[in-house]
Amino acid sequence: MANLETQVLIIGGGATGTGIARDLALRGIKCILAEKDDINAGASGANHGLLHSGSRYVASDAEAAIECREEGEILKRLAPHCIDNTGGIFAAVSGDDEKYISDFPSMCQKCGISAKPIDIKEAKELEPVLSEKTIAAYLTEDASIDPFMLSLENMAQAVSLGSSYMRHAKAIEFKIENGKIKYTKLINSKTGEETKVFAEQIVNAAGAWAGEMAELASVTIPMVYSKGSLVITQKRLTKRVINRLRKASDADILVPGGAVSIFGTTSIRINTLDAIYPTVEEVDFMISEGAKMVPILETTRYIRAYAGVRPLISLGAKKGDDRSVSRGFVLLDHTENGVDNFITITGGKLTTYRLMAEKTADLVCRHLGISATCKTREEPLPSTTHGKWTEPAMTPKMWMQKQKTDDILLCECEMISKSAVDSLIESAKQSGDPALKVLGLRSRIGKGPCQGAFCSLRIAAYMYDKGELNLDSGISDIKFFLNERWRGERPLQWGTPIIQSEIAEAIHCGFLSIEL
Amino acid sequence: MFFSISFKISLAIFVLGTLYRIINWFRFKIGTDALSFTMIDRIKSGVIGIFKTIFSLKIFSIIKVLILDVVLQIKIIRADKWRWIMHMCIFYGFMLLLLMHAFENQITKALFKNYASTLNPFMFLRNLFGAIVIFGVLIAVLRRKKTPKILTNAHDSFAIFLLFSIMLSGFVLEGLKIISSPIFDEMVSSYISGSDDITPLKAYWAKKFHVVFKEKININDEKLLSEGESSHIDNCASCHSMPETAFISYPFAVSFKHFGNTLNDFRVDRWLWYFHVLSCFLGLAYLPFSKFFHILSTPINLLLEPAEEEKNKVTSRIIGMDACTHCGVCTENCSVAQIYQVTQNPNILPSEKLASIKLLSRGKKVEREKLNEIAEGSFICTNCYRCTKVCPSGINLDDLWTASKNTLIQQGYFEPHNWIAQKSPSEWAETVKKKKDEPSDLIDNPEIFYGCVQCSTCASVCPVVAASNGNEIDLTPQQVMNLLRMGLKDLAMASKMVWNCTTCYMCEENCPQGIRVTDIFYELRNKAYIRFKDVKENV
Amino acid sequence: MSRIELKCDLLVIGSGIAGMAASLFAANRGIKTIQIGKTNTLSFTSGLMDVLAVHPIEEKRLWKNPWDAIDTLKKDISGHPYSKVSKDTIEKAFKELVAFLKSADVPYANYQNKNVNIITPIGTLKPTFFVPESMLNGVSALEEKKPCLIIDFYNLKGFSALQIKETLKDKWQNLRTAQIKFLDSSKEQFAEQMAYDLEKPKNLDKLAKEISPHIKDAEILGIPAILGVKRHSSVLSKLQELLGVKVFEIPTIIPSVPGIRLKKAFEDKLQDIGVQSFYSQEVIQVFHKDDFVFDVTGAASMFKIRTKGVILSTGRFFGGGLSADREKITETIFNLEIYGPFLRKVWHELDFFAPRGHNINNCGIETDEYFHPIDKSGKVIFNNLYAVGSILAHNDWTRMKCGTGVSVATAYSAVNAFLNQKG
Repeated sequence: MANLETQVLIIGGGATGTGIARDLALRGIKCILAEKDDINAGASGANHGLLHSGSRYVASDAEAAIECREEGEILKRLAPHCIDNTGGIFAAVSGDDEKYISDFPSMCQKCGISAKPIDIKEAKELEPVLSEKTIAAYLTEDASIDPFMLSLENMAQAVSLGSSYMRHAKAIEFKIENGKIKYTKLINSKTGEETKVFAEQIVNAAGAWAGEMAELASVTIPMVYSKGSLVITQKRLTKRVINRLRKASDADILVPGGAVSIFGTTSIRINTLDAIYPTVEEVDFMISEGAKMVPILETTRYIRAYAGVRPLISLGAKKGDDRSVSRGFVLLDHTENGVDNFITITGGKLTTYRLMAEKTADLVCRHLGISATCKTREEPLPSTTHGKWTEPAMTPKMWMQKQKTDDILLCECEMISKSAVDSLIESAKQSGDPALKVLGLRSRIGKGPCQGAFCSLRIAAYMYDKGELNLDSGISDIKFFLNERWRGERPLQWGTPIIQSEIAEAIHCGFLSIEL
Repeated sequence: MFFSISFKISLAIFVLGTLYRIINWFRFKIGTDALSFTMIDRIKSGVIGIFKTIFSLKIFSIIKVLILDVVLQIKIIRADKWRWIMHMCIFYGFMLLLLMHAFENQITKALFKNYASTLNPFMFLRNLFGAIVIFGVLIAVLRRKKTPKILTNAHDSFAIFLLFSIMLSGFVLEGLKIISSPIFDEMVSSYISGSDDITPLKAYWAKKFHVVFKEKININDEKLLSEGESSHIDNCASCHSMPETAFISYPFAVSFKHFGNTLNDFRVDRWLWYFHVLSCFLGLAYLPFSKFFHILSTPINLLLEPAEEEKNKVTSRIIGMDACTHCGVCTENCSVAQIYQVTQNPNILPSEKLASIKLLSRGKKVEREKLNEIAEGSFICTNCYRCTKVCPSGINLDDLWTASKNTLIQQGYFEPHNWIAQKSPSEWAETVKKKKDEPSDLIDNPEIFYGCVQCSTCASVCPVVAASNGNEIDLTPQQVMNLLRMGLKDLAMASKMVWNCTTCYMCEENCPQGIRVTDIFYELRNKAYIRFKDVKENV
Repeated sequence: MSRIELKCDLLVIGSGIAGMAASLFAANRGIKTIQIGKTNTLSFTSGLMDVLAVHPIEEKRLWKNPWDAIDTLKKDISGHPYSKVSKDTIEKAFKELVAFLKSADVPYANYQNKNVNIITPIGTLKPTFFVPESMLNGVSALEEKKPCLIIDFYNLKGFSALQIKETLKDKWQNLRTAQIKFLDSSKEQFAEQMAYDLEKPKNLDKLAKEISPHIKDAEILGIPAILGVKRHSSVLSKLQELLGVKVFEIPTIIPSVPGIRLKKAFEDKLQDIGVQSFYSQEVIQVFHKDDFVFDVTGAASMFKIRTKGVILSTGRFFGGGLSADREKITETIFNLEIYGPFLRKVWHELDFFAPRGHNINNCGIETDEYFHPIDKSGKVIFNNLYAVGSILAHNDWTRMKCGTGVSVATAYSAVNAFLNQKG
């Protein structure tokens, strides 16, 4: 069993965890980030990719609204490569709460959020897919953000400053001595290999799994899980982010993401974190509800659906407690639970991830007795090769620019060539063995219409040729990758997707007999 | 006097005009291969070529063609029977009139000893032939009205108008002559001795021949009429048939009767005679400059075309253009004609492009704007050969298009694939990044590609993909579709795949999901041309 | 617009293996037959012909002897198309088909009347029954674990000899691999195009020269299925001669050359025996009054077909025989009753590779014993309409490995039933 030493161990490789890693690294503090699966495997990778202007929260949570506004402005300035500054429209349709509509501008104004009224005709001109029944529309500052690129770039900078990232490393034990965690035992879920990490501070940024992690240190965090599902359309339906102008509810946000659009969400209370997948019922509900705002949702082709879990924390009696920085997110110092070097950060939104990281890092520094100040408010997020592959339509552009005929495409849908796969393999190898899913997470592989049916085979063959796969590991790799894709395809099986999955089954089962 | 002077003038114009046109056959040039020959060379070679053809075995096949395609117009009857009827009516109706009526002194009289224009069957036949021509003209007008693809230019309208006025004036003139008492009087003074009482004859002619007399004549007096009849038989009947058989002019005459005196007083028949004759002479003078010139150029071209001599090919091209009657059949069959609806550039249509190329062949300076239009039309042409196949005048249009493209290239108007290939797809995409674009239902509509299941059959069956080496191919058809799906149209537009596509439709036919791959490529090319052409000067 | 009306006794709709087989059987019996369908269906098949290899699928029970498996299957799944045909029928049907293919120079064979394992491009083993003769060498070589060389081609995607070797490591130690550059290797390679290239002797010589130095102690060579299309047999024997070792083909991912060989064989030879085939055509309207009358359209034509009987072999979703919207599954031409209008949420399992298979694969058309489609009450819908092939219900062909067998056997039965009915 390997032993590792570090100043800070961060558990959880979502936006918050990677954000903390970068924040700390910029303050000169080295850390290890251990993630039980891979970057953004939880809620950070299963959301709209929406950079909120704050308008959505003006009624329910003015404080969160203001945070969103401020953080949105900072990110647009410092991480423009991760953001598509689309602007947004809040649109109400007939039947929506008229009082909310009339109060909306003044609520926005109170939070300093821009919301410019436009007439219906103009709104229809800007976004022709809006319903004929639209009765009110406002222009807002919402934007779309690529959460994968964001987390990958955060982590990449932390790594470049001396921190490290371990994927498939699940924390299974905290060794507590004298009210302190002496070491954390990690297990590699692929190889079964165990590692002990001796860290001065442990940050629990495990998102929905924060409760489970805290439990390892015998700390109880009262958590409630809310599952939210989303669907991806095959074509981009709007230029801007479209929000339904009503009290925040289900199936009311449509966010453009490169060449596609993402629509959601649902919110379903679940008790365990075992089965997080979108269901047929959720998809059908979202489509019929969403079609009221954007009717084309009823007929457009969908590529896949996915689901994430929002961790909600009921802090009950301790209302107004200073540990609750805002109702948006929760930062817990477990000193008072008897564990001195253990901090939990959870909840919050993608938009405010930087602020959450800043507050957490501040607390870590206090614990460590270091007086370094936060730099992420001013320092731009660098663009690296690790993050660039996630951007839709990026790979074909780069490939066409080079125009090397020998550099053939392994993934046809998203046009990812041999050289791009080489680069992805290099990037993935920084934190473990490359596998299809690992490459998929860092790129657009498997995200096109074929959903991995063809590219999984071609890339696996290529990886064998490069010596990156051996024995029959490719078979399980392909199965694992396709099954992961399948969860998102399953609720959308009608029209062309059912043809697509029939072909996939004919190839993989009928011909390759991979199921036997 | 008037007749012979005006005839001589128009004949002179006709002869000079014809000579001018013939000389131009050897003077004008289109195609880069034409540049190296002098006019004298071409005349020599042309004359020799024609004689060679005449005195070779080929002449039999040419006679066959002449009979089938020129005399019987078999090509047209296959394509459109109404058009055939039109052509036959106009051509043969007019020819018969020409021979029987216009050249009555030279031809008809020589053949028929007792010919008189007012005698049957000649009178009847004249009306019949005239009616046939008018019927043909009416079909021509209706056809041009009913087929929107066929454009009508000034020459077409003028030719139709001229024919129609010659025919109509002839009929009206004949009608006026029937009722004319002055002509009656002239005839009486020429053929009947002055002492005779012509009242009975007048009565008889007023009743039977509808001559309108100033003085009151009792046409119901049986005795008078029977006297008139015998006088008629003695003096007139040998030259005059009953007017009813002039079945078109006769109704005119009857309807003119009410104001016959006025017409007779003013001798309107004479004025109309001038008009009729002048129209005919105008037609004669205009003929070398009109579409009717094809009567001459088509057969000559048929004689010259088989000559393999390079010089004659060049000449044949020019004669071929003169053989065009602007009938529009090529345009009706053109495989890219529908693009005209989009760009409104008439030079896409072969029938119109030919007129523009005539301009080009004269070697005079053509405005840049016009050249741009001709180039656009020319390079959209796929040389699919359909126009050549259907041309009733047998013009080798395919060769003409190739030649004119060469001329355009020589003048700096490159084929789109040439100047588009000067930049890579990425560079083009960057160049037109900010340019606004009219979205198309086909290439800008991702739903068109929704059906794609990424099976790569299109790439697998594509002969271009198979035959190209690594440098000649940049994308497969499937990859082009995926670029479009991702909204990267500008990258697809300039790709080698799109521009090297032979439009063989293998991809489209083999696509299991029925995606219109080839149609999409074709549209991409046209859109690329429109989208890139404004900025191409910077290339 | 008045359209040309074509007349026939039997119209076969579909150009997959079921449609091709039905056309063949009909023509062999002197029935005036017209076939319409897509152009390219067979290139999406692997070219392997399954009879039955897995049953019950939940247990992943593999059968060496498909005929025994059929006996058990008949007892277990009464709705399965095999339960309506005798083993004798299946055997006769295949005999007729294989004889036809042999005459078209696409020889097929089985191995000791048993299911065989064919190596796939990812190194798994695919159990199947009739295989192209060029693959049989590989079957015995694997059983005998002969020293073998497997090659792949640079820039032919989705085929790695190394992957096959690695995946088969514990089953076949005597494997070596080599990567060969094929002619113009600077661009992407497509199996179909390579196959046509190799029909030119010059190219085949060049390829043999490339491979030769790698043979060494190998007694047999495994190569992606690219050895010619129409002249496959001669390409294969020439290559064996040039290399001095036996050669076997390994099927590739679609579009696959063995599939294309089948397609070409049917396209050429069906015409010779009197089938009028129209590919790239789709039915747009059907009228029924004793005879069926179809309005048919294609890329450049529109016509009517008047027929006394119809064999429906349009396949499932990819073939176009079935289509699904959010609520239901529909048969696309006659709007026939579909077995299994389950709710969409139970169409598919959560696990794509779930052993019991997806419910939707048992959806399809139910028929009487003559393959007349029936409605819910069990009544025959049209007595001159027959449904055959993968569109039939209770037939999860991808899991059971019974696709070709069901298609061929049901086509055979339906054609005979039509013949008997016609009298």
